[in-house]
Amino acid sequence: MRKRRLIYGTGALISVISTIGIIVAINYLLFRTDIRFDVTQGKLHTVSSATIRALNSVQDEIIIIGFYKETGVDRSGFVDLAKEYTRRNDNIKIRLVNPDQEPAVAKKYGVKEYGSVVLAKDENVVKLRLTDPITGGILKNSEEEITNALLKLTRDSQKTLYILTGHGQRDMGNSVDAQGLGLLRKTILDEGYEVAEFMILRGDDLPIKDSILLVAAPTQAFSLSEIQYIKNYLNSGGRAIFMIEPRAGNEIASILAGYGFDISDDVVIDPSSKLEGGGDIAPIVSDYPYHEITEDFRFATIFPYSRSIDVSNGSYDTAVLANTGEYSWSETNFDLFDEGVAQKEATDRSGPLGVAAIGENGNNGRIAVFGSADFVSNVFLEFSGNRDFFLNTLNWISGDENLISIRPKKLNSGNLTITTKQVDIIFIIIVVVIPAVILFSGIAIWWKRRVL
Amino acid sequence: MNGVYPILKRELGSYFASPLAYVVLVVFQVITAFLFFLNLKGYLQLQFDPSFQLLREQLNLNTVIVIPYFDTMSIVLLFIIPLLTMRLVADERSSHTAELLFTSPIKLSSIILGKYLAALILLIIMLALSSLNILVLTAHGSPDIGMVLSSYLGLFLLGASFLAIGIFASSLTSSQLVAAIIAFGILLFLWLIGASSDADSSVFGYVSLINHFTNFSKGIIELKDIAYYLSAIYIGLFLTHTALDSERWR
Repeated sequence: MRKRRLIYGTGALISVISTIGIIVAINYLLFRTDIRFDVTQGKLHTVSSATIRALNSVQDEIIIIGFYKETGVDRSGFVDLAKEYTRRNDNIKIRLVNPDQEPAVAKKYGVKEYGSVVLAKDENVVKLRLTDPITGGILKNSEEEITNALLKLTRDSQKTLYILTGHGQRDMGNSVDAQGLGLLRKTILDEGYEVAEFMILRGDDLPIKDSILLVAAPTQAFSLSEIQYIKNYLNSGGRAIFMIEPRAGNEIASILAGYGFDISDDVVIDPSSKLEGGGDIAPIVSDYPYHEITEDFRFATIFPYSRSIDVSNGSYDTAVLANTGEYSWSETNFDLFDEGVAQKEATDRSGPLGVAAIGENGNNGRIAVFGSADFVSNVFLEFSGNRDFFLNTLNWISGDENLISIRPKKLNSGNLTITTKQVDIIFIIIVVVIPAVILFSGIAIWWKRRVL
Repeated sequence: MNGVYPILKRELGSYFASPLAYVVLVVFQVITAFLFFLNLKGYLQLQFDPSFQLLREQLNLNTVIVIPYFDTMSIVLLFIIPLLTMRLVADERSSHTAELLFTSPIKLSSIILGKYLAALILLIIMLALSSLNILVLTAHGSPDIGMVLSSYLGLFLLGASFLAIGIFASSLTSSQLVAAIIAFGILLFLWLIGASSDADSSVFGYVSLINHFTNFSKGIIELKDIAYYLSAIYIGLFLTHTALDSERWR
């Protein structure tokens, strides 16, 4: 009897183990096939055709690294989206890193916040932040962000931002002091650009192709040959960004006047701007005339210690990008200003005043001019939309027209149209009437059987 | 599979002849409808809450009402299904009809399948009742129907897996209470095992019963999720068969 039991028992055990083994193998194979259907009405979990086009051009391995905590809605949102990229191109890989458990990886890519996402191709890296600060989930335009990062990594040539040095410009290596532009330099690197220093007097030649010249708040005079060099660069289709602060860089201001940028010798005062630490000389900007740079841009920006800029059309097609508010004015009395007094006089020009402008000519040349350098300094770069405003402008200047704009997908429902009375009726029907009907039919059947 | 239908008919008859089916249906409907109603009220309040205007674009019937509703139902099923399955085999033993049934000419697999299908029909009735709540929503707004249907498919597969595990638990004992406790214990264990990870990142995450439901509730139908639930159902029924079959030689 015992032997019989042992034989049957062993047979049953083998049968259970082999059945479970086969099922595990089937599951593993199907897990790897990754067949899925997005049945939502708006195809919420399917990437757009623009992204698929971008993915078709990816020939080399690109790794998308998400820095997330082990759980969280932003993590699962990121994984869902990133998987869509890996499904469509085997060269795309995903890696999830918990910065607390793998601090070395976080340090390697300079990641300090959860929700950062890094796209890396060899040594080239583009860094993004995809967590929505309000909802805690993934940003609605994350697909656009990731696809643009892919396009930056796969573009044929590497664009370089050349920082003009030698004229007392802001220090782009200083990430500590309030005035420094070190954080801006890091942001530009994260956007996928190379950054290099450039000094005209050293005799180096600035390549026209794939270069952007950045002149960040020069304080010392330029020689005639330097001025001529900059003019030649711009005339031959060079692309450049100028940040001209009040009471400095007048030679540059006169060069730019020739291209349709009229930079006033003033300081913009805005008493309606009461930002802590900013005060009246830090106008807050929320009026952006229509341009592809400012399209869909909804954030306020702050332009501390700024000159005002007007535009006039000449050889360049120019436009103002950002205007201060109506209570601002152009202060030209620097004697009083130095004493800490600024009063609007009848002769002072009233707001709105332009503080940022761009221009382009038919020779591929593009210029951006900002009346302030402080707006991207270490202390103000992260203020509201300052960083994005600068990066949008930089991408436009560099001619990255292939960077795409994908409308975030929306679920198909809007408001619920319902009255208070209807809500009460719904409660009565679903919570009271339906259960009561089931209960009474149960009692009726039970009663009927009892009688029978 | 001769013999499945008589068993199915007999089981369904005994479900509805006793108060159990009605009590389960009523409790399920009251709990899910009440939680649905709370989500609905919450949505209506947020819709007019000035402090919520920043999130207005995110305010959506699907994310605020539909997805939480299905998540809630999955939890309610976890508690209710052991009550549905506890009697399936254990009751036969305690009422001494087991010997008669298992020595009848009907094949063991037909008996198990018949009992399982009866419980499955009860699950379908429960889910059909809960769809009345969604119908209310479609009358006043426009939830994503694709998402709703895939959530129901997921919920059906999840519930069917629960039932298969429940019938296995019932096959292990002659006490209905013990059967319910064993079923609940196994289900809770399989629910919690991958709670801290998802189905793609670890084996525990993959084994977890609930992790495969997440895709369905988002409107994504993945072959691997369907395969997982069908596997869980098969394993549950296979183990039931093995457990009952072993009685012949034990």
